[in-house]
Amino acid sequence: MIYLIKILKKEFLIYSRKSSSFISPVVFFLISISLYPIGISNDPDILKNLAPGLIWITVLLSTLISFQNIFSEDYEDGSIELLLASRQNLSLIVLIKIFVNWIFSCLPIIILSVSSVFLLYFPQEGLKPLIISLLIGTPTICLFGALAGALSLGKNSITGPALMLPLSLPVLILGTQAINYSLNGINFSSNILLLTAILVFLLPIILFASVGALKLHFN
Amino acid sequence: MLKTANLSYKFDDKYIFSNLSFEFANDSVFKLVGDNGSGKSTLLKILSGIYKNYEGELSFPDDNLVFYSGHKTGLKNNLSPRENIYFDIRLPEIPHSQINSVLEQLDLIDHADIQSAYLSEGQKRKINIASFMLSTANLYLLDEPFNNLDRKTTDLLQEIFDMKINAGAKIIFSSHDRSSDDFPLIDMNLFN
Amino acid sequence: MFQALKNFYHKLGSFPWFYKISGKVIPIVGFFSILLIVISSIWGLFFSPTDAVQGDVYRIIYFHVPAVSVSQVIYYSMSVAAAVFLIWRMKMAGVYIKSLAPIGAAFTFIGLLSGAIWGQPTWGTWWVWDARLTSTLVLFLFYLAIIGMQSTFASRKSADTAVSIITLVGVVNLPIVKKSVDWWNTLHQPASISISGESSISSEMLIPLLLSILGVYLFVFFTGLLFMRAEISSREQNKEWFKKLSSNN
Repeated sequence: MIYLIKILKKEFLIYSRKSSSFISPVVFFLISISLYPIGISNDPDILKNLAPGLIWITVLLSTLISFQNIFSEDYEDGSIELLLASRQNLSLIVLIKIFVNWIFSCLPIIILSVSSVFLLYFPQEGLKPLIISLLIGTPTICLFGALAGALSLGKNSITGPALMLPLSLPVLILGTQAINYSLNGINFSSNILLLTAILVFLLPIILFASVGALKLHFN
Repeated sequence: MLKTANLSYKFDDKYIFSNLSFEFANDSVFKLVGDNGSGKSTLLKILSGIYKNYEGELSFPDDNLVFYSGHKTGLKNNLSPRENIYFDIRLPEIPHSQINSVLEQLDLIDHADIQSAYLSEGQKRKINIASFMLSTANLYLLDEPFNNLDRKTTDLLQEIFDMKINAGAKIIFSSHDRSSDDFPLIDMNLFN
Repeated sequence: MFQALKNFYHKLGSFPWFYKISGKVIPIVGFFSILLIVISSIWGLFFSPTDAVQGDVYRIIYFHVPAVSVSQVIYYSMSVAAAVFLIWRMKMAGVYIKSLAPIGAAFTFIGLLSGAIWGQPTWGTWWVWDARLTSTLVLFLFYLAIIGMQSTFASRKSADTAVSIITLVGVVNLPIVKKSVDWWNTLHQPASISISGESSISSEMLIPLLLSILGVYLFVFFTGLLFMRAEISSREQNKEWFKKLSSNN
């Protein structure tokens, strides 16, 4: 337990020192959000309708910037070897890494997505489902990112994104749908429940698979 | 204590080394020598538990505390030397006074709180030596610890070796230098 | 009975045995698959009746349906092989996945392409974002990820394991994708286009269709064996049995 807290502290410290870990997704998000009105239309009605999807897609794409961070540095500098040599249970450690990565790469964007109210004319009453769906949906995406990152370690291939995006489709669909439902006055709680179910169901599976994938690099 | 019998390791279908047997009987230190690619690093990684797909026997008492140090040391560039040592996952909780005294011995105390990215390669290696000094393990697996060290640090490392051995620890380390010392050798060339 | 099955399983895992048997089977399977494809194509394109509603356009069904169905079957068979590989470490399963993935990708692509060509004159659009098409597209992406993953690992065994993991993750995820696209569809696309309306097919159309499906399955069997043989010979080229075999020829 002390061991895990030590790793948690260490991860936090490393991420907070590495400003690019949270600034890049934020900058990416802001750039994209301000490009949509310019590229599509500045008509409030059009933007309002597109906003739920645009926000979700942008969040999804911005995780592509950061998912490599979960393991690649640890792989390069030998930290993963030391973890393996420590004979500790890797799944909890990997879970901590995913959690910290989520805090630094997803949480700021989720908070920033509030800005869409004035940038994309997103209706205020949609903020609650937007924030809730992002809070529950993005951890699943970070899990997929961890798996993709673990599998494509050391190689800058397209394999990671090619694996990650199709996996994330259900989350994207359920997330945007929750917002659209709520804006149309339909109860969106079933979508939130489904997102939670997907997270709970996939968490052990993907975690297990990521640990397995990580170990494959040390055979 | 650590013991291997007919240990072999293959990468895909090619054996890196095979039928390696040794054990710690009366000796406290083994020096691994051999050509490049003869499997020195691989053996250390197997003994430390990083590589698991070996063949043969490797008996390893559970109460052993192992300290492994490979070519890659797990050093984080954006942490200071002090933080790197404090958060080193190989070490138990260590009081700061102890870290300070080790950093002083290694002439790192003046750089203890700047980010390690600004240190020279030699200084970065000293951070790993500090972890080695502070470790309370009883089995040390070190990959080329003496490589690229200045005279003073070499002597210091030699001293630490003696201290660890006197305290009852066992050490296996690899080296390019097959001469000198009176450490018993494990010559990896014999097992290729 | 159980013993015989066990023996067969062990034989199946043996590269020399597989290499020998597949060498004998390939010409026969190849002959029949191409024969069936030729017969069903000629029958389907020239002799089966014109569809009352769609006209002659429907004849692409003789390529589309076999391709789509085989692309899914290949994926499911790959996921079985992936489980076998992860549980029993059977090397042949790794060879199977690596060899079948490009074939599966090719047929998924043919399925998507022929679907688009069929869709343009019948529904007036090349592409519809409905559950079936979307999940086929996702299937195609999974195939690409599997093929791309092959080169990421230095060790053959690690690559096979990684690919098995992706295959299994994909098979868990595909139903979720299909289901979620279904939900999404009901909101975005009121069922203006029903693709499943082709069930009322006459027997004169059905027989060549079944023949073409059988032909394509045999063709996959044929090419699968060929690819697996090629893969085995590249993996085992330094083994005694393989050297002996090639020096005999």
